Amino acid sequence: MTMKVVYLDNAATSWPKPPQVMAAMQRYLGEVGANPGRSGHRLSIEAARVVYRAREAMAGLLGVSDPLRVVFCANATHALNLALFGLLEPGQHVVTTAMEHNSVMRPLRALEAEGVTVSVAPCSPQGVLDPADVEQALRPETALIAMTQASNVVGTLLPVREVATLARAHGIPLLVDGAQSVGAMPIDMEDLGVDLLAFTGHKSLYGPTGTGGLVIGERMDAGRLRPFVHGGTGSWSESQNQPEFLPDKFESGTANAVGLAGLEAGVRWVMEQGVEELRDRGRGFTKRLIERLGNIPGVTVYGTLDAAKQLPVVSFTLDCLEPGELGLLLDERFGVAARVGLHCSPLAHSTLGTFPSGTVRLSLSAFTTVADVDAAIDAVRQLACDARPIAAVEESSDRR
Amino acid sequence: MTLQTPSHSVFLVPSASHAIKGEAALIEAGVACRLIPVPRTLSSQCGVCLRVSLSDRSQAEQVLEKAEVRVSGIHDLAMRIPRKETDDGCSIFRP
Repeated sequence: MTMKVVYLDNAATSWPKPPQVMAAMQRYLGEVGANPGRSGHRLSIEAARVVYRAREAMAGLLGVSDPLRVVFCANATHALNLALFGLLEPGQHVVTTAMEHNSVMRPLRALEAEGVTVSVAPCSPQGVLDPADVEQALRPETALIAMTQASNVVGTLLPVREVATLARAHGIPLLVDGAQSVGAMPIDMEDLGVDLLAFTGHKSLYGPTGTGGLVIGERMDAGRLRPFVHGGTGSWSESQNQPEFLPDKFESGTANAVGLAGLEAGVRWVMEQGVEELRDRGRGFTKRLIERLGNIPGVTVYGTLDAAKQLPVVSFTLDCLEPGELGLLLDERFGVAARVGLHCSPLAHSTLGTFPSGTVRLSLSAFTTVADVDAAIDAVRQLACDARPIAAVEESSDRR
Repeated sequence: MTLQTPSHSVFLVPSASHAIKGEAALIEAGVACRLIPVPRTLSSQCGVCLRVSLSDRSQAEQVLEKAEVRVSGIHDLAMRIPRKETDDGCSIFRP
């Protein structure tokens, strides 16, 4: 018999997806299928409608009045690259935080090599950012503040509203990495004061991989942003130059329309469930995980240890098994799918004190049940019991 | 060549996204419209534009302006083969 999978790797990619997502993608492939907006026939127009509806859904979710300010790309990483390479120039300065994913840090390090100066505002060992540290890092030539809204390692929420307020006061645009947060918590982009918001479709929006985008806030002048990719848009074809209007300026090449059909269905599903309701449910499970894992001898749970201050992402280590081995045993013996290691976030792990060995990360979704959570806790408890005597023997033989 | 009387108005928009946005606004306002390929006589761009009956031109103009749909040109057209706009926007899927 196949072992039941307890899927707790939703911060990487959520699974399963709502049936509506699969139905929308199947309908697209079976009934629409054409190139969105490139041709004038009804299938092409319907494909363009599918893409537009995905834009409308994203705009509705994020409190953005004009759906054309939603620029689609392949994922949050592409969106972050578009924003960072599109805005920053040699001689300018950017402030980021010590909890960033490599999707922010790697483009910034690449830009640093081209003459952009990068300051990293420190965070506490719990992953907490004090907005005053961001303000302190600002310089006259600061052109951007780039920060995540929620850590992909420990789920800790960063004070985006407070940073947005100080960014506005200094007239500096704010780019937010919403890979973990968009769909997982209520976000009104304008109310929050975010100028650029990168999102991905395949995590808390329950869409397929290959979907994501950059939302350009209403106060952000899109003219300041250079396109990352140039090419055909199905518009202004008489010109060999890139169009200047949204979203075409940033959307060259045929869109992932089948993916966006799924994304729209995922976003609508999230909105039907209620973002706040989903978050409340996840919060209860997170609290359970933090408390019960923390009670297992030898387990260290990282982050604020307060479910109200984080998303449903819990990272931990066990003193007698290194994370890689623990993750493998969770999978092999208990069918628990977790993610181990550095989670593409070496800087965040350094902040948390878990670099370079990393942690085991359990991340939940709307489909996670209390039985899943308890199965993972029981599995960790069992492995801790089994490994401790072996580790003790190994340790004593090492001493000899 | 016979000079034909215009029966329709065509709204040129920057992209298919703008066209779909305009279509949604027009449908909501009860203005029958259809997305058509941009007539070569008007522009060399590929893409689509919005066509309404000539009698709906001014209403469509107002609706699109209110919906903040960028319109780059409005042209009245005669149809070589007469036809009427339908409410379904010529979609096999809509409404």
